[in-house]
Amino acid sequence: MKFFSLYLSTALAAFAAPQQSDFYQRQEIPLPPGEIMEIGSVALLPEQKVAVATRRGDIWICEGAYGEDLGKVTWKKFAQGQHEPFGMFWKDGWLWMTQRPEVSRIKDSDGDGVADTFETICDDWGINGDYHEYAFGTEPDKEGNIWITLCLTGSGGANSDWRGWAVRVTPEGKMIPTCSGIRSPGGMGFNAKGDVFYCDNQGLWNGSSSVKWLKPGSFQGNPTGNKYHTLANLPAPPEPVSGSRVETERAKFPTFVPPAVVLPHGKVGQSPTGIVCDTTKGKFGPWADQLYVAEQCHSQIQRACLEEVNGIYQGAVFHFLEGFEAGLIPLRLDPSGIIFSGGSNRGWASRGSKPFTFERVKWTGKTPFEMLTMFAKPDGFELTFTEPVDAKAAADLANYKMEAWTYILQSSYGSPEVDKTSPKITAATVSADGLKVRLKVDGCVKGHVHHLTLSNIKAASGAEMWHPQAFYTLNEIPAK
Amino acid sequence: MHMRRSLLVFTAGLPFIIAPTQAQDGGQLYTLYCSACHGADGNGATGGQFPPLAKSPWVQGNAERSIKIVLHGLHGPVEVKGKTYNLEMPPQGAALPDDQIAAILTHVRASWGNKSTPVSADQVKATRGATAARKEHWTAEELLKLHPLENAKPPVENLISYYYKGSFQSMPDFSQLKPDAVEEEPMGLVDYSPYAKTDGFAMMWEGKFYTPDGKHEFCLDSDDGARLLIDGQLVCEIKAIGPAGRLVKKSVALKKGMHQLRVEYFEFAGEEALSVGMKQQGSNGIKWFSKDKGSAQSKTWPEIMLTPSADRAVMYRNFIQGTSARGIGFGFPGEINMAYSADRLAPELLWTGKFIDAGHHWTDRGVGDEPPAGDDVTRISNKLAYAFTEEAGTAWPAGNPVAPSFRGYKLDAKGNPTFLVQIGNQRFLDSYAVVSGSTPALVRTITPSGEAAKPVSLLLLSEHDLQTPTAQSFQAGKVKVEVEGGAVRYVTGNAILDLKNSAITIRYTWQ
Repeated sequence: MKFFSLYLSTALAAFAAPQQSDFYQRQEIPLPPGEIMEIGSVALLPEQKVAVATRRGDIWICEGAYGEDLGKVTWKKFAQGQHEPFGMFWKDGWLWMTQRPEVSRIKDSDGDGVADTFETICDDWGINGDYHEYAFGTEPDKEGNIWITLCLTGSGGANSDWRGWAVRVTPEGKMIPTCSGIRSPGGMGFNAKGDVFYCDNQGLWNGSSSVKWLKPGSFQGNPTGNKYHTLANLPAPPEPVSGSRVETERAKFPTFVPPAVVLPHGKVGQSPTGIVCDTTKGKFGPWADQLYVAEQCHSQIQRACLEEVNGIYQGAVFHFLEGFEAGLIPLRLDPSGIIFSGGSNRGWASRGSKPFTFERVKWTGKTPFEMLTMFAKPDGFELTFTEPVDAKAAADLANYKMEAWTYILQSSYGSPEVDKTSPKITAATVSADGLKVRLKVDGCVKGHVHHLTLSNIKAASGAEMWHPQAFYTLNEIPAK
Repeated sequence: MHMRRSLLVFTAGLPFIIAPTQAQDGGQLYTLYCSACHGADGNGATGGQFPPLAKSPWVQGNAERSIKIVLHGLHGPVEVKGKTYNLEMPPQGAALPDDQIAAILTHVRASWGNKSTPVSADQVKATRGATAARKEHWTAEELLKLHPLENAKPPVENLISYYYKGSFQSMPDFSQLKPDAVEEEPMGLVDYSPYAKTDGFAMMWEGKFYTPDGKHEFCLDSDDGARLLIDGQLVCEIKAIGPAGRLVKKSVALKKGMHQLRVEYFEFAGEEALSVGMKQQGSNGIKWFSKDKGSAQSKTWPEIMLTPSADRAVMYRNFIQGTSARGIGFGFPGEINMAYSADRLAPELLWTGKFIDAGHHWTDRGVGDEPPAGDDVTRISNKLAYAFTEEAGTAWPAGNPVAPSFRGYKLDAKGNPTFLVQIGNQRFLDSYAVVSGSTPALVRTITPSGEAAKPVSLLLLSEHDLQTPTAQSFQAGKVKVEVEGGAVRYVTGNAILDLKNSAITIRYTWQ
């Protein structure tokens, strides 16, 4: 009897359901007491200082955010009176930011701890007093330029110059309109190669929120801002037909780049925001070069694994981190392996019920059993795992389910999931080392989201899979 | 053994009792699509910042009303269970099919104390078809006209209105008059509009309204005069003939129960207005007793008045009413305030007293622009402030041949700004500071530097109420402008300063 119960308890412990805290430690960073810190931007500064910008236009600098004891964190107010910065970074002694009316850089020239010099680098886009004309900016790209996405007026019109466009601003302040078709950005970031991505929210001409690739010269799907091409003698962007599909319209228009990763509405968040790439070389887990995507409404961070097929970005999104205290907006990943994020839910609800938050996440060093990557193949998909999989379960076709669908590309708000099919998994071949499974799938649909659900597949060690779902956007089917 | 056999029998019978269908799970769909804003418990997410659905008359009764909201969205103020919300519900009609909408509404109408009939997919389909041409969000007002809330109590109960024809230059003694019309007002709102534009009348209304215990702030605004009496006591009064915008507010402690409302009003001539409202202690929304909802005074945000400290100016960069979108506000110690336009490169608004209420932009989505909070707001210009002198001869040029760039600003230890404007290779430093004393002044210094390709002129005043112009000074409303180091010239009502190579000082004082 005793032996039996001991065995049972150890077995139960080994098979305990994975918890986020096993793998990632999420902590709130104390904020200055009594201050309203609706965080729109986070910048990492030298000497382990962190700057945040709030929606009320204040800029604060924090010391101690990297330390073990967050009770020792101190704050100093650096500046006030900015106009909603979304996108801030430190470069050569200046704090740069993209705010609603302009790209600025600010500095404390006399060393009293408070900013005194505020330079306007570029203010060449239009704003007219509409609250929805937001601007989100990046850090410098590989050429030193800042990329900015300009939200549509009222999220549906284009009443000011360049709304609906992504522009680049050079360090000297020259604005280069670069991509059209933007609707309502929530955040931006680069991948390991330095290519630029942004999140566009579900709405007009956007069936579901997505991570989109800003290929220079591309059209992203929403034609409302097209008319501004004349201001810079650029060719007219595509005019897609409402009621069609991205797949159909992009076949007509070579500059129409499809979303890299669709984040199915409601299933993978509702309002994606900041993007960072894991180039920490293993300090935050095994997700090398994958993107983390923050989520305002569901207070989460998702994980996206991208690849290029036929010159187009596509890939899978997996659920990753959750339980943040407010809606997340900016996202930063320090090379030492700490994620800093913050946000607010003012005006748009979030699952996290606090009005604002500032948090950090660290890896505990324990790797969860997960799908590490999911890549497209000519006849299906190939999965890799973070540790060897239970070969028998992974070879069992009954443990895999796939559904596929797409969205209507239409001028009205959002879209239901349409054109649904159930592609059939006809073979699951596990590699000798148990780290790969090659799935043969019958009925994959080019251009559709493919939702893969794994059940009853544990690691060879007995560990349960933490997130057994993947959502792959299959823009292109590789030839080999 | 016996148990097991009967269990088998029971499960065998199940398929005939509950046939598995393709039915949508309304509860799951609600969680997926609606709970983020309306809350898992239907009480509105984030501590009630968002409207509740639990026990809400909006989602009960006639289902048309809620079907329409789900299909096309709702924006603008909406009152739910006594609290006003002003957010935006995005339309879901294009994203959710009829059967999912029906399942969600059926779930909502039977949850958290709601007891209303289910909604069918056919019903949603029919409403969708009937409103197919609708492209815009609904407003609460539109929907309440089409589908009034069932069992909704009117704001004022048993309201009777009395109309008196006559020429009144002050409030009459109604006990001495005989009414020309007496009406029951079932909508329960004080409303003069049936008699609008007929100059020369007075009106009086009496009715009852309920309050819980607590302090209630009443507000009254009118054109021409009005009085508000609660339980027979005069609470607010606007005595004289004049326009709306003379808002009066007064707080009264009331006990739980019904109270008597009496509103008196007279209209001598011209425009008409009458708004009567009540704010509960701790609430941001105003419950209107009148059809008129007042103008900018109907704030639904908490006031966050920005004030400078004793020795440092405070800044506000946001949409300030009266200047361009790139407005930069400064509130200086000494109660002198300005709004500089970074589009037109000039101080466009000057005012005294309070600086600005940031509560508008710092609440919910912060929609719209916010006017200066203080007094004597003077708009001294609204055009691009720099032009080539040769083009500013007989009129201030309309276009933008100068193409100046806004280069930002520096702040000194007191928070006083120096803006930087660049025109070609020439730069202009435009500094501001307040000098206190018996006549506080805003002192502006323009310092040019660099090579001027062509001489440049500065617009000091555009087509305002210009008075007493001399080469060194002029007046615009209450603001006196004095120039040192340059000469002012006047062209078609504009005051222009031709800039040279040396600094020019401009003093703004209030008379």
